[in-house]
Amino acid sequence: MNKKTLWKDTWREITNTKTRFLSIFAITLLGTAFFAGISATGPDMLDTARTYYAKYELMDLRVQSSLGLASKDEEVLANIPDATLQTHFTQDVIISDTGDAVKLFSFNSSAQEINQYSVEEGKLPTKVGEIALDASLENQENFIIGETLSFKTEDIPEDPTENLNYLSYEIVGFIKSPLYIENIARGNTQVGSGSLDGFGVIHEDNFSMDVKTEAFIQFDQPSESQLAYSTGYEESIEKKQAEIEKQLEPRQAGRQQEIRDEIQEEITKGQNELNEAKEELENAEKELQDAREELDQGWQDYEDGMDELENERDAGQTELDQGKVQIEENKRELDQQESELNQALAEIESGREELEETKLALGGSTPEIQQLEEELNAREISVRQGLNQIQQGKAEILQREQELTNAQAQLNFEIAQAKTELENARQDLEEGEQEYSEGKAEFDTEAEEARIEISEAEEDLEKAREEMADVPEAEFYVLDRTSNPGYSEFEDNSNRIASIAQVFPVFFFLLAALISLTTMTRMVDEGRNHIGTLKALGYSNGAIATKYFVYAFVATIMGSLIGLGIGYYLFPSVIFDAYGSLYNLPSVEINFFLNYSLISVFGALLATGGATIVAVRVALRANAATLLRPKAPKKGKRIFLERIPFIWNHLSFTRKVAARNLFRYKRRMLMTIFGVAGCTGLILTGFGLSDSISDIADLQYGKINQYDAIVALNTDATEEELTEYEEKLNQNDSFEEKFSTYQNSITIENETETNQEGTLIVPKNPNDLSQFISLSDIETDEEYELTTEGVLISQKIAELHGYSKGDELTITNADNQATNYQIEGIFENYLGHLVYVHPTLYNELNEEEPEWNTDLLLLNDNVNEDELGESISSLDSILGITFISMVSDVFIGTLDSLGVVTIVLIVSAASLAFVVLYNLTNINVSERIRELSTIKVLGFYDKEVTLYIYRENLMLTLMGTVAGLGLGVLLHQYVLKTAELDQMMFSRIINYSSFIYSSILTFLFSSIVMIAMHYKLKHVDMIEALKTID
Amino acid sequence: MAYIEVKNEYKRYKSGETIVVANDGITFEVEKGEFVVIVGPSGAGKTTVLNILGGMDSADEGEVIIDGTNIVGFNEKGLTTYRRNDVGFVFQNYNLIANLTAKENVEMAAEISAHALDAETILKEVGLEHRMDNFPAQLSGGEQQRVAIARALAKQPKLLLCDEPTGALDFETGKQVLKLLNESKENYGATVIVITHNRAIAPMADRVIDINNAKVRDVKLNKQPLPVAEIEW
Ligand SMILES: Nc1ncnc2c1ncn2[C@@H]1O[C@H](COP(=O)(O)OP(=O)(O)OP(=O)(O)O)[C@@H](O)[C@H]1O
Ligand SMILES: [Mg+2]
Repeated sequence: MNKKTLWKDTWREITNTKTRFLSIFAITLLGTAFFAGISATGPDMLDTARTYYAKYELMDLRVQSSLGLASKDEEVLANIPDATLQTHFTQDVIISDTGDAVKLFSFNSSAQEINQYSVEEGKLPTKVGEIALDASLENQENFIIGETLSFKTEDIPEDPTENLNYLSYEIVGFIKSPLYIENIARGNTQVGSGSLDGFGVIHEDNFSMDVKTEAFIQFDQPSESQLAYSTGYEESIEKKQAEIEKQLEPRQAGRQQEIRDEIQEEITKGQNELNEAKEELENAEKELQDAREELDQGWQDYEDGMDELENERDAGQTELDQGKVQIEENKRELDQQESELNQALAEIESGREELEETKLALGGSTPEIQQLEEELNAREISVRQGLNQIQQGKAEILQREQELTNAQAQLNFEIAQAKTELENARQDLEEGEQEYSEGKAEFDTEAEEARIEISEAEEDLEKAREEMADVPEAEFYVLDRTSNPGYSEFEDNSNRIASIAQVFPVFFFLLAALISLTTMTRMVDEGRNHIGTLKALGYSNGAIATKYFVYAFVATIMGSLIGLGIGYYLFPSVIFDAYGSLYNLPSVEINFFLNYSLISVFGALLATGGATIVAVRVALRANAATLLRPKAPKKGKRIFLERIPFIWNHLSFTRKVAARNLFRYKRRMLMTIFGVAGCTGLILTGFGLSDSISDIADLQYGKINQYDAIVALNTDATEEELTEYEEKLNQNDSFEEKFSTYQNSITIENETETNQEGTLIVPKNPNDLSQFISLSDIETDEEYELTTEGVLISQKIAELHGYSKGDELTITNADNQATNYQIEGIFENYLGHLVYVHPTLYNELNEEEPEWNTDLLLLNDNVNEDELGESISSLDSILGITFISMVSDVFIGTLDSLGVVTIVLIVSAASLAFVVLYNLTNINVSERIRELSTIKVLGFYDKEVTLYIYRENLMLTLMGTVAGLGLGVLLHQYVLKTAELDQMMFSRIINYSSFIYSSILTFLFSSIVMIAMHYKLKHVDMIEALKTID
Repeated sequence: MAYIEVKNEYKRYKSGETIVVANDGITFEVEKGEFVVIVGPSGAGKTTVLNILGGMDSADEGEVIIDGTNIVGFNEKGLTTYRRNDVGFVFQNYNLIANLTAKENVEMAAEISAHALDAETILKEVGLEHRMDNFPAQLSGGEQQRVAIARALAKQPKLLLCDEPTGALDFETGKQVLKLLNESKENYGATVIVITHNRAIAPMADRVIDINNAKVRDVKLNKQPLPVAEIEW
């Protein structure tokens, strides 16, 4: 047989036996598509992420410091060789209206080389007062471009006003960052509920901080960023990480000193200011004292003046009065003298008259009379003189009197003047007094204040001094990409798919080999005569076998090549699409993998080739004569069932035949059972996975968590604010009951396994816990009670870390304080790692009362969540309220995407099941075509003929299905273990319905195959079949 | 009207470009209860005629009237029913179901037939009462052929059609089988048609139909058929 005839013969064989060819083709197609596709999915996912990281220049390392990155720190970082450095400010804030916790990054378009943002909508901020928001927030909160948002400044631990110049921003765009490939997780924060809801980007100039908060480092080798997730990359980054940590080491103390110096400077300045203030105070006091003295002196002077005035006035008056008395005396004397003189005058007159009378009497003068007259005249003159003098004296007195009056007036005037002066002085004094007392009052209050201020300042200084002493060494954190939320998880996810790739395709290949074996065996059997003839003609074994190998290999290579094409495209696309809702990555990159291609093609060739060898070997070993004789039909044999006449005798022939055939063709029986079992197992695994995944939402939010809402409380809230909150709750129709807890993020440590992030929960009132959360044993369903003996932990963490009751559990809180607890029980839980601690135990071990920061609410059935949310979310006492219905909806949505993976499994397994069943049935039919033709000739109707063969198949399918269900349970457990996420526990239970679905699907395929076979049998050429001798 | 009337029956096979005319206007009659032998060279079209008579194949043209019913034009189901109730087949290579015992092979045919005979009785008739529970592989060729005949007779067919039933048997055994067939005509009132290459068998037949090159060349009636024992070849 030369090559040409061989090919002709082979080609004719292929066209003549399309079904057989197709079965090898189809099974290898399915096998390679599934293997290559599933295998490629993990690497493709990683590759997609890699390209994304490279495109957006994801940083390799991120450096943070507990004391901020000072310029000298930056210098150290800038000196790292072959690296790009980018520093920026960050600030965690809470958006006022929505309550979203957001990490703000500073942005400077010219300096943004690392972690470039991809703008989904709008633009990046170009000036102050603009913000570009995390695209994932857009959907969550319905933010719109052009809207303005502002940040909370109160009731949060870190007031953004200290670090930000502006607090309200206009939304200008929605962006994605390679830092956050996960759709939901944004990391943790000190503000809000503890986890970030998103990030935002604002212009650098909005920040008023002195030092940068974070530095990104990217190394120059571009190939490395391509190789993200590779061990080579991880090792090289680890080295660099260590190197940078080493370089930053001196800066730990250096930065400490810097801050101390800064504080010292402040202290000195403060001290100076304090001293000045003290001095000032003293001066003021002194001044006040002087003023007092001056006033007192004034008063003294005034008093003295008053006294003097009095004295002066009295003295003056006395003098005047004495003068007046003198004058009166003088007057009286003058008047007396005058009257005496006047009397003298009158006496003189009367003397004269007497003389005159005497004269007359005498009639003439006598000398004596003369003498007397002369004497009288003389006397008169002297009296007259005296009278004149008196007159003069009187005038003098008058003058004196005038003078006195004048003096009196003078005195009065002077006194009055002095009095006015004094009065003025007094008024001045009084004013002074007023001023003084005002001044004093002012001083007193001010001094009080000043003293308080001073003492405060002193305290502050003291504090500052203490603070200075307490300034810790700077702690530098050099974080690699695994610190990005979702970064590692994405790798885990792709690895999980890869681990599925290790389990399932093995089955596929086994089944493919099985199908090839049965098919090739049948082909060789049918070709016995042909082989014998060729042998008789003298062809070598090799030449004869070639046809079968060529036949098998053509089918295999065609099948596997097309399978590769389909697999490489279909599986990564579909699975990655499912993950699309979890990650904001671009669509998957389809890659060609030489290794998987070679493995799958050679694996398939090995399977079919091996099967061909097995099949051909027997035939080739036989001699031509034996081959030319028809193959001795398998002997009919009694089966054990016949020993039970009770059953056997009640079977109809067709059933008897079926029963006997089952046992007669053991190999076919086993193969069919195995094939069907494999397929059913795969289908059940698919359904089981779907159950396990979708059940957890119901279990977690239905069975375990009974509460309807979680309220995050503001631990700084006042009593009043808390009362208001409680009143508001009680007023609400929806509200039924509330349960106080303390919840905090913790790290659960383990020496051998990786540490896990979890939540510590301390219920305030452990006795009521079961009303809100059901903690029970997954096996026995027995409810646990929280005791002071130890803690209850969730099942997944127990499994991951290998804990059992009585073991010690080490957890550390955010401040890195470690606490050891004894494990008292392990409860059923599906989401997150939870540790429940009795409040008494918590107090005992932590020496502090837990802060009741989280309330769990029970709501009634006709709850209006929006209304309730609105009524309390604005309260200062609460940070936020979350409704479980929403959480569970979101969660179910997330799980749905995982469900796609299981659908891929189910569809793949189902198509495999179909091919396997079709093939096995086909071979069964072709092997027994003579028998079938015989009964056809005997007059069996088509239906009876089909049933004749199908009864067996049904039995085999039934057995295969039962075995498959068992196999599926095992496979399901295995896949669960490998495919589960750390933070999640899938339900270990496969629903009854899945068993039913898997069985029904298997039987459905069996029936479809039966229908196909029915039509095939109907058209079987019985004459032809009976004519051939086999 | 004869029990079987084949009139102007045509059968053509298309194989690739060429058309083979296997039956070219075949016409003959057979009376009820006759033992008929069809002879002719290889490729003459004997098997084709038999298949058409037995409802395993249908004629392209003409009429095939069995007991008054023209089966030409019957659909698949009609033909099956016809086979089921009225026809018994015996093949050169027995075509027993390997997985059933002799008795079960017979019962199997009986089970589906409207007026079947008891399997054990009929096996006794063919002389296999002691081999009833044996599987075909445990029986000799002749015994197998007898089982096949029993299977065919069990449903009391109107027609017993045998395509070279002795082809694979030695002389003695062949004669036994022929005897059995001959007897069944008497015992069960079946009309027996036997194809053979062996013209030596012809004398025992009531009617000998000679087919050559797709046409009936000759139909001979034996007034005095020879008993089987007297036939030699
Ligand atoms: N299914 C078929 N397709 C094509 N040709 C056929 C078919 N069946 C029969 N023939 C042809 O019809 C002719 C008659 O065949 P048939 O089997 O009736 O002959 P035969 O007389 O029974 O021969 P033999 O004595 O060898 O059995 C032959 O030439 C054969 O090649
Ligand atoms: Mg023939």
